[in-house]
Order: sequence, then C-alpha cells, then structure tokens
Amino acid sequence: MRLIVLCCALLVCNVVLAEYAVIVHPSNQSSLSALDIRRIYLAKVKQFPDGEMVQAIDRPEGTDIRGAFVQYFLHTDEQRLRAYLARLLFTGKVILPKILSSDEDVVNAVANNPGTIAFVEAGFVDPQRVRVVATF
Amino acid sequence: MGRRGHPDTVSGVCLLICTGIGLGGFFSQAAGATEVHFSGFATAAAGTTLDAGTRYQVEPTTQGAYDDEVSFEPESVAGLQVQAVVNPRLRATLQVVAKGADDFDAELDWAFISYDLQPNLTFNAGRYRLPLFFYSESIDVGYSYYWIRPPVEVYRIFTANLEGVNLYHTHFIQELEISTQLWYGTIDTELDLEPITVELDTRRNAGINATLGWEWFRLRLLYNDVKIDTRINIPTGDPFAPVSQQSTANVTFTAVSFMADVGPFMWRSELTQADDKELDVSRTGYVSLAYQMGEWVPHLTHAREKARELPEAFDRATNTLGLAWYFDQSVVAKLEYSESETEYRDRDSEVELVSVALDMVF
Repeated sequence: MRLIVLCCALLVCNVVLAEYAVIVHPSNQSSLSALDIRRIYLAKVKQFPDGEMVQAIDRPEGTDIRGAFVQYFLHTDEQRLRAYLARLLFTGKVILPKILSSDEDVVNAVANNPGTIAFVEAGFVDPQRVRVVATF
Repeated sequence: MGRRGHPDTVSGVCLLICTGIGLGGFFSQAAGATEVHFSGFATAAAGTTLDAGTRYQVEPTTQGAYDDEVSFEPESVAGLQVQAVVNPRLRATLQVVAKGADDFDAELDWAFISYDLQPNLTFNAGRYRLPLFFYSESIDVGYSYYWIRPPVEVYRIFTANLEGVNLYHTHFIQELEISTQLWYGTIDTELDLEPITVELDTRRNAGINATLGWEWFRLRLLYNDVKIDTRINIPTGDPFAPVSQQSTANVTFTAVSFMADVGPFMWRSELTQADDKELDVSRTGYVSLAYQMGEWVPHLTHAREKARELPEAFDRATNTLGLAWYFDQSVVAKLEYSESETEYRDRDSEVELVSVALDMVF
C-alpha cells in the first residue's frame, strides 16, 4: 500500500514538474492569447500584437515538449503539422523556425533577442531574463 | 517525352535572384549576414496497370504515365530548395526539381523574390507555380498530402510554372483567417509528345483565390482567366514542310475546395470548372475521406471528370483506396489501388492501377 502511495506521489510530482512555459524577451510586453501563439507557430502571422517582428524558436520533433505544444496550441499532431508546413515551405511562403534542442540554449536565445518566442520546461525559466506568456 | 525550359527566361530569373542574393551579401556586412536555408523533398514511386495494353496518366506537367509493366519513372521526383533571407522583409526562393518522367533533368521550377509590403502583405515576382487548385502549388511534394497523387481528374490540368507577379495577403477577423492571393503572369512551354510537339503560350493569366480558415476547416475559392495560344507541330517526314495547327482559347477556371480535419477524420473535396467559352465546359471534382490511426492513414476517394463536348462527351470516374504509413519522422510509405472507368465516343474503358511510393521531406 505504501508503495502504491509513493508511486502515485511520484507520478503527481512528475506531472507538476513536467509543466512547460511559452517565453518571450522581458521587453516584449504583448499579451499573447493561445490563438496568437497558434498563429505564430502555424506561420500565419509575422509580428507580435505590438508590431515587433517574430522570430519563433522550435524544438526537435519527437520530444515530449514539442508533442505537448503541438497538441495544446496547434490542435493537431506532429505528423499532420509536417504535411501542413511542407505545403507552405515548398511554395516559399514561410521560413521554418530555428530548432534548438537544449532548454538552456532556448532560454539564452530568448533572453538575448527581443523578437523571439519559444517554449521550454518551466524549471528552466529565469524570470529575470525571460517573460512567461503562457504555460501548458 | 518531357518539358523544355526556356533558357532565356530561366537564366534571366537566375540572374535576377543571384543579383538579389549578391546585393544582400554585400550589404549584409552592415546589416547582419544573409541567412540561407536549404530544404528538400523526394518521392520514389512505382506502379503498373493491371490489364495488358492499358495506360494511366499520373503526372500533369510531364505527362508521365504508367503502363502494364512496372515502372519507376512517371512519379519519382526530387527537389531542392534554397531560401535566402536578405533582411526581415526581403527574401529569395529558388527550387530545382528533377522528375523521373523527364529523365531527371533538373528544372528551375520556382525562382522568385518576396518583399513584405506590410507584415501581412507580400509581393512576389519571378517564376512560381500557378496556384490554381488546393494542391497545385505543392503537387511535387508528395508529403503535403496523404495520397500518392491528388486526384488526376482535377490535377491533370496543365499547371506549369508561370513568370509573373503575385500578391499574398492575410487578414483575421477574430477566429477566422482570410488569405488571398492575386496573380498575373505568362507561361511559355513546349510539350514534347513524340513525334508531335505542342507549344503552349499563355498570355494574360490572371486570377484570384481566397481561403477562409477556421481551426482546421478551410474553404477555398478560385477564379482564373487565361488566354492560351496553342501550336501543334506535326512532322510530315519532309523537314521543310511540317504541318502545324494553331488555335487560341479563352479559358475561365473556377473552383471551390473544402477541407476539414475533425478528430481522426480528414475530409478533402474540390469542385472545378473549366469554361472554354466557345467550345466546351468541363467539370471535375472529388470527395475523399481519411481516418488516422496513429501512424496509419487509410483513405477512400471518388473522383469524376465530365465534359459535354470534346468534340464528344467525356465522362470518367475513379475510385481510389489507399493506405499511408508514417513509419518514421519526415517519411511516409504509401500504397494505392485505383479503378477508373471512362466513357468516350460511346465506348467504355476501364483501367486499374496499383502504385506505391515513399515520400520524404528534409
């Protein structure tokens, strides 16, 4: 019984720790809705609501964080997203976002570039250097 | 059999783009380096018709077709794209595509400069694919749809690349997205259908399409008007006296597409009409449903093409059953069976086709 309780506790902890955050540069004071984030990552808009040009940072396919992001904000899965983006990419309509695999690199990139937006594991967020606009 | 590019135009566009990239590189010393992005796609496909003496055309620009022996050429294709971002508003796109049905001769299919007049309004100039139907622009990229090829009844219309200009605009009304594309250009191409050659010269190719999007629903409307000068050259054996026939047609294309992704279901449908004012009206269309089970996507499609006169009535219906297997990242294996029935000149004919393909993007 004690083991089961322990397992459950670990599971809950894991869920809480695995929370992710969408981050921008602290100078970017735009309030971003889930729809704004969706439009940025589906390459439908090129600027933040305040007019600053967007430089989105993506994460590698197949990672937990990317899968969760695609499902939560883009309402699809990576397989279908790839087909959607292939149609835009090979008609020259979009430049695909840069992909960074390490959360630390992502936080550094966002902290150093005012126009960037990215998503990281919540534990890597440094509120002094980046601003959280959404969690998932 | 194949297309022939027009070297003058190709090199002209190349020069234009290279100049653009060159200038970007030059000024970039002050403004940050020009970013260059490479990407590509490839399809390896094979297929055969099931009855002796039958043929099934699958590729619109090369006239690539399968016959009763397994062949790999008709639909195999490889493409490489370079995008150069000169500054946040200015970029150049080059895409070289080699098709099996063309003996893998590389063609510069896309070469254009994009300039963002506003963040939601882009001006493009150069060579691009006519955005006639929903998949016309990405027809070479098998990964962009779940079929091996979008229904040929709709997509076998000759949709080459045109030289010209276009505007792309995106507008939002709350949850609704409206994207509009306006274009004007010309197409000069020669089809080599040994021993006959067909010169297609289109002037004044102008059109507009508008896509309304909400979540994963998309409704697309199209209007395109074009004047086509056709010259058919038939060799007579006497090189000094070839026979040629010339004709001019004004064709208006209209189309509506509706696409919906609901849970595991994917619905694809299009209805098109080509109105050749003097001669004929032909209508094409399809409905298709796919169901996603993880990596597996089975799908069923019914397509139809009907023309009243041509000079005689033409009616063709095709059913396709297929399976796409997304077994790894960026690659999909596809298997399809199609049966097609054609009524033409009071004769019925049937063709069955089995084809397989591997599509990848990188």
